[in-house]
Amino acid sequence: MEKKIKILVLVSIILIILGPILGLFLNKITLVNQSFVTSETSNSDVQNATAIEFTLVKNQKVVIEFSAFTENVTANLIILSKGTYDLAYAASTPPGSISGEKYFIYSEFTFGDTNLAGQASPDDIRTITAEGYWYIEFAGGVDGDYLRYIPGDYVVIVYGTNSGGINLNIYFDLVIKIDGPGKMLETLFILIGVGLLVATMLFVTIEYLKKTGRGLL
Amino acid sequence: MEKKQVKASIFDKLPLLDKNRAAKFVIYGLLIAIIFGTMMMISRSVADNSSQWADLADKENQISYWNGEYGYNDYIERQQEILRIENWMNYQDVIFMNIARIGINIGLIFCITGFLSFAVNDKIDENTRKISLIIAGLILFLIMFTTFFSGIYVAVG
Repeated sequence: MEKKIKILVLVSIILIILGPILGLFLNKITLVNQSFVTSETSNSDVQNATAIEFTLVKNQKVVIEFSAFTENVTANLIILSKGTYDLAYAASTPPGSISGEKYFIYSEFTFGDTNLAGQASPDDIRTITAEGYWYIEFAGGVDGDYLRYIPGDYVVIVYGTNSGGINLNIYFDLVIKIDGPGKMLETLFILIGVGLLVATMLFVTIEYLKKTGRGLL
Repeated sequence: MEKKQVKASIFDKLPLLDKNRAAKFVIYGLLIAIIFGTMMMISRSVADNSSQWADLADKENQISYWNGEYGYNDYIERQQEILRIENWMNYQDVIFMNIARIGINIGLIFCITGFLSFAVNDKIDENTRKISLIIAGLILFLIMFTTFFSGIYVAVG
């Protein structure tokens, strides 16, 4: 019996500790974290552009960190719905001519600037020339500076030009993170852990009273 | 003649508690009242300090945003979460204060029963019995006064 109780207490403590750790690691799931090279032809045909698909469910968003630090490179990032992308892909439309880009919020972090709303803006395209970094949040649409959650299938597209003459490559880095089940798992694990601990304590107390033959009064 | 056995209820037993059992009633009653009283104080302290906690959490949120740990939308979401928790920290007072009040009243009823048992016990000296009766009356007055003339109110912004 004592061994069982010790195991129960141990399991509940593990669950309580594991909850916040899982919450931290699964809060955002990394879909993409890599450097890309795409051709300058991406500027004239969406089929040659870098395209990364993802699906959003209700109350879910993606965070995109888009950066480039290469001379002569101009890289553009847009987000399309899957339907619009498929249509443009079939017609080999130049990415710059596609209508129906989705709006997102990009943030510019300025330490000490208390006008936090002023550091975030909605837009449907982010361009980097030679060097730059953008922190983008996307959930399907925007309303002013706020995200509007619209579940669906979307595609991140990056295309651009290289004015270097011989080199026709576009170099850029992308990190795409999607909301994970971290918060839900954290709450669940802590609840189960605490519940198990309380139940074990009650069980031990009742067993002790039974064993010693003592009532409460 | 047939004898009919009647089982005594707890109410029949109450005034007949022996000295030891009455003392146990008083001690357990006090213990229950102290535990629930502590719960009451913690609950009130959490509610009173909710705005200080919210200020701290807001500042942490702002610094995390400035550091680029998350974007504006995450900042707004966290801000709403802080507001929700602050309101709950205020409102939990109503729930826990009422639970604590019930607990304290139960504890005090144990004490009254114990003191009344002292008062009706003819093996105890007269003065102790009188004092026990007065204490039981005072505790009863306290329960009735707090139940009827004090309410629990919090403002959730």
